[in-house]
Amino acid sequence: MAVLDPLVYGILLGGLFTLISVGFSLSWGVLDIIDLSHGIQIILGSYISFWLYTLYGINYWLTIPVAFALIFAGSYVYQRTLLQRFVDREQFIYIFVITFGVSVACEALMDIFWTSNYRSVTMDYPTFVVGGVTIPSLRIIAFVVSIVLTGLLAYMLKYTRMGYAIRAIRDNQKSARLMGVNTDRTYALTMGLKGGLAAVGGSLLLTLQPISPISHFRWMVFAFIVVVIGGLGSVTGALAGGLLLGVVISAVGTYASQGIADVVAYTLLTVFLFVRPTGLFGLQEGQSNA
Amino acid sequence: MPEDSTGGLRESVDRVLASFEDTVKQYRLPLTVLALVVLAVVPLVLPAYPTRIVALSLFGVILAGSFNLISGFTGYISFGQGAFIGVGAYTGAMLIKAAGAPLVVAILVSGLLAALIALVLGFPLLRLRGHYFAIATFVIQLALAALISSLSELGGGQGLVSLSVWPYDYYYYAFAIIAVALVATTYFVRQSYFGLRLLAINSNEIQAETLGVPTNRYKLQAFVLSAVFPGMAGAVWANYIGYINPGTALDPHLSVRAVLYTLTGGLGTVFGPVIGALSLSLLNNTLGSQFLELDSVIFGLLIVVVILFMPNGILGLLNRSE
Repeated sequence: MAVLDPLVYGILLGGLFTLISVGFSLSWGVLDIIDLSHGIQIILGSYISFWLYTLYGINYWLTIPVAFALIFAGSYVYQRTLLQRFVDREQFIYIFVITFGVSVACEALMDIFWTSNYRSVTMDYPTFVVGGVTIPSLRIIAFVVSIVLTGLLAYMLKYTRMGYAIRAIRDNQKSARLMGVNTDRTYALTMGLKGGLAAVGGSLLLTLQPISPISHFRWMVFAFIVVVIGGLGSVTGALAGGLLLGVVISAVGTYASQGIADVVAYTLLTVFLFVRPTGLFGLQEGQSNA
Repeated sequence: MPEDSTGGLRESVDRVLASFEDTVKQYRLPLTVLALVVLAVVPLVLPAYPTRIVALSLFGVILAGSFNLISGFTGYISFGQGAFIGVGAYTGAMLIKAAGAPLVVAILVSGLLAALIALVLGFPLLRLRGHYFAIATFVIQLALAALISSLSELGGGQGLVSLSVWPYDYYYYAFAIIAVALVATTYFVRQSYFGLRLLAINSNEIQAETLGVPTNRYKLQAFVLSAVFPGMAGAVWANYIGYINPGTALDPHLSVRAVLYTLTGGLGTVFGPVIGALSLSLLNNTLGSQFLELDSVIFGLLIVVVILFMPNGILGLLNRSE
């Protein structure tokens, strides 16, 4: 069935979109930090897996936790050393500019050290045929890992002390601090999680398509789109936005072209910004998520 | 206390800025004449290559000044001024290449088209506040790049080769005239009731509205004004560099450069964007030409360094205007 193909592929791709966006949604919606170097963290995840796999022959699936840990630590330090000062001074526009600077420098450095060649990994995994739709199992793995990790994050937000702290900061930063929440540490941990999840997304992405340093920008924009469609700071929103974007990209990409798919995605983003800036599941002003 | 020290620093920087503005006011005429004369003789006394660097720095002045017109006065931070450069670049390239229009006509039409697009987009855009406005402007530029990439009439992703049929001095003077017009416009806006009302929107939009300022109309006028100059400059730039594609003409770097230059020099001031753009453009172009491979690394690090170590006084200006 030609109609089912893009739908199934879109949903599977949408899982990955959700994974790379859910942390971005938290950092934007909860911490008010829009990190334009988010795509760099995704691509660094891909590169960590790529080098460990190609140079050292480490099992690909074992490289993913390494990518998570390294980028988690990197993002934690990034927040503590570079970004926190702007949070303290409430100069959020500066975060926008400085993270853009970091992304420009990182992309250029990756170009110099790792060249701008597209990198890919080839792994021999079977494909399934379900109801006339051919599905490579790598896509299913990427989807399942993404959804499981997103679920874990949702659980963490809802039932752990760390989750309480993050939600307390979203509701009111000052009160949270007065109640004994270590806000600086929570900020850094949230940014670490965001980076770590992005890196896992990057590693999974590399099993599906080639990447190069320049790819970071496109994937950051995808995260943007998912977050705006779904609503800031909402895991459900990231899931809905991710799946919707996945289906749109996949369907338009199949029936028209990849270029048109990007235009449609941007248009969707613009329409949401104009008509419903809080997205599908975003909190309205003054609303809490008890 | 850190608050005291920044307060003291901010005061002293404010004092320096104020005395600088006083000096400028006192010797307004001779300084203006001097600046214009220097601008006019640059291509005559400097060799070709330094002249090109000055021309590109003037392009930076136009970028920064246009950002300053909307964001410095109204407080709506636009991350999409590069979109107007792109509109101008494509309009200019098409007019000159396909229709054989004279440079002046191409410049004027490009400015007009950029203004029209700002007028249409401004309606929904300027209803967004804070981060959302910044992001929407950023996204619109990306959307425009994606749109042009898929239009084969405009060269698609391959881009357009626009014919550089004029001597380089023409482009230099075109940039210089647009930059001077922009600075003059900023100066007059700053002096006018229009400018005062824009500043009122900046400090408290709801209060301004309550006091009878038609905020939506004024914001839109400022946005349209901020689009005209990069529109015109884009037409010049496209023919100056001779080749444009969606990646270069609608590069997000353009928008971020506008923000960076303005923040460095001083948001909402008349000469801040000029000083920021000239110093950083010259620095980036000189360093960049020394280490060609590291051009982007230097640009990225420059952003980080400037934002991190910018004097508190200039940060203070932004805080005060928020």
